[in-house]
Amino acid sequence: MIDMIISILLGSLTAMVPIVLTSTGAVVSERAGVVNIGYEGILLMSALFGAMFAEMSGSPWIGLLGGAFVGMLLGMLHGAITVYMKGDHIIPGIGINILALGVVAFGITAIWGTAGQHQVPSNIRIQPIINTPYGGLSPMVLITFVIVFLTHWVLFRTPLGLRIRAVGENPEAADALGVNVERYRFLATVYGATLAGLGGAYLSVDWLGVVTKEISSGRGFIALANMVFSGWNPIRALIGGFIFGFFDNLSVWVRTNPAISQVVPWQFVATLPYIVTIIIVAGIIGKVRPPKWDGRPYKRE
Amino acid sequence: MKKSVLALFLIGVLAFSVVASGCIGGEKTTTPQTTEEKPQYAGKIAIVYDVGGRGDLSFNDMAYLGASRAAKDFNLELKEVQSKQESDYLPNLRTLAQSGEYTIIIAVGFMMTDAIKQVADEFPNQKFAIIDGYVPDKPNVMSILFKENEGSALVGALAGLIAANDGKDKVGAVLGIEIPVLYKFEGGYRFGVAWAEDYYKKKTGKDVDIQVLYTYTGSFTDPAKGKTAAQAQLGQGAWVIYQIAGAVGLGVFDAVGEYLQSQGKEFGPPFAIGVDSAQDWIKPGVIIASMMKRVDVGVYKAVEAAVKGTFKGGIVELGLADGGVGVSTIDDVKAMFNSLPEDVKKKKLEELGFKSEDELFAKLEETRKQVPDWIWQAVDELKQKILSGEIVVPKAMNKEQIEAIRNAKSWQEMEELAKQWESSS
Repeated sequence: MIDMIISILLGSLTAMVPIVLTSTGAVVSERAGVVNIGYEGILLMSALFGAMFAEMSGSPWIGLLGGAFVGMLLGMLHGAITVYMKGDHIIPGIGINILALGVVAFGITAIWGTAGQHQVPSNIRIQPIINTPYGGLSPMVLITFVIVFLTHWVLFRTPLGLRIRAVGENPEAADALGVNVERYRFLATVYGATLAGLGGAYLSVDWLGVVTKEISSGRGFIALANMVFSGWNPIRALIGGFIFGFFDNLSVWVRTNPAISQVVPWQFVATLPYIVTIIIVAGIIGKVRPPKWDGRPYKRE
Repeated sequence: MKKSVLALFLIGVLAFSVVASGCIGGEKTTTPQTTEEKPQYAGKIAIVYDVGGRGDLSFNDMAYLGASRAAKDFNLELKEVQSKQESDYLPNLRTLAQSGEYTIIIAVGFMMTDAIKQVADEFPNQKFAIIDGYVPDKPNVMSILFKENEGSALVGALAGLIAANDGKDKVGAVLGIEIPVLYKFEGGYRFGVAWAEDYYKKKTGKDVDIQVLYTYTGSFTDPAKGKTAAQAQLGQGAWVIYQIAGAVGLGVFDAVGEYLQSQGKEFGPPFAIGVDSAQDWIKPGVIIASMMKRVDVGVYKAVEAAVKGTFKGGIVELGLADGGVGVSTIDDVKAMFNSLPEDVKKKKLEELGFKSEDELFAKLEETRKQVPDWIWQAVDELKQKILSGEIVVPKAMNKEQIEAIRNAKSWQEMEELAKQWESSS
């Protein structure tokens, strides 16, 4: 019993990291008014390049930074298109998602010579700080907490955060007050994609230790949903990510038990995490409102 | 500001492309590789790989093994064609068929089923074979399928005996999406576990009741789901876990590996069991064996039939008796490993932390020695009994049948079911 509780808790913390990092990044980006649906692709590509950087350098931490760097580059691409060229916010994201499918499938073969999957050697994976037979606690979990709280503090307690929110709520007013709307929007986009990149590298060099063609498995989209449910708030996104991870793990434990799986169809138990998360988050937070200028390019009159 | 940001961005793109081209440029990307042109060949055969392509250490590599062996034995020229994406299947097959030079064209993987059906109609005189695809009604297409239930029964017996021998009462199975094909695996595995209970009782006089924990993860692609499921099963006492879940299974290996690591152990138990190809090399020490689908045997048989004139359209199901399925041996891993190009081999060894191939194989031997000889002999005994027809392994094809197997108390009961199903079909 105790084993089970510990395992579920550790499992939820572990599973939460990529979703929460991406959600937090997306919160900042959208608070500044830039929608990016390319996080799925960023996670995927960063998982590949993160592992590549880790193996080239021999250090998993370099791998994580490398993943964040790839995320940053993709964020700059998105920022350049949406902020400076005033392009559509959705299309580039779709493009990145599709590009990632090709780049990663091809990249695994091109870099490591085996198709479809690559095992990251265990000596260049992040070692857990707590190690139990049924799951460990990665230092990245703590880093995620730090990033979330720091982001939350900056976003809601500092002048920088006020400017970020201002360019997403009312860029005209912000512009009139002398805030460089384009710069803040661009940097917020890059920040969001960088966090997603970190989350992607975490998948391969920390949590799972493999690179596969579809390792992101929809986490980028779950993170976007989580961002909306959180009402564009990093700490609530953290809680949402944890709740989702918790019930996802719990559902696996429950349906693995043969006594239960004989009675309740496993498909039903498997949908519970989604339903419960929606109920809890929607019930507590209630109605949420996106930033007013979210997804709209700002052109100075 | 705008300019500097743009400049920064361009530098980024440049750096990105340099990195990308650096790691990609060194590889050969030429696709169809023909063996050297020599006039004295007796004929030509062609093989079309799935998107994964050569180097997957699974389906495609095994298909190559079979095709190259057949090419050598029957003195044929082998043409390999790689599919870069799914939309390549049709044009690849069509181009090959159009030339009319090939004795047989072999498509690897069930993904090509529809393409094969179409091309088979367009070229009724061309012989085709498809591995793992179900095309029952074309006179010029040979569908090669495998009796996964028989192979799964063997690894089930292995799992059950390892658990019983260590005084444990649970084994696990992590499966992909709940589709009827997987029932074949699950049913066979359950049969093997039940057989192991009986065998253990007869051998030691001790009663054992081994439960099978099973999780359908609902995915073939997300390793995280496999890892969570395997951790849940380990946490509930599963001692050996059989993965039948594609990429999800990689998470199973990782979970078992971490369990061992946390206990400071280099070798199992607990063990994981691989599937489809000899996956033992993926995590030496963790994977005790794999349930192999011998794609190479399937390809060889297809070529043989075409060359000897015994080719017939329809379903050919390869079981234990035909060498179509089985438990992996070290030799299987060796054969697979040796089919890789030298540089890839070297890279793989380096990643696994071995200095030479021999070290890897020694480690695999060592892994197998963690299990007493009598267990391996017992598995072999079951194999002989299935071969001789003394034991029939049930083949569950739908929900009803798998439920019947899940509820059966003993392997004899399951065998009864198998006989009923066989006589009714």
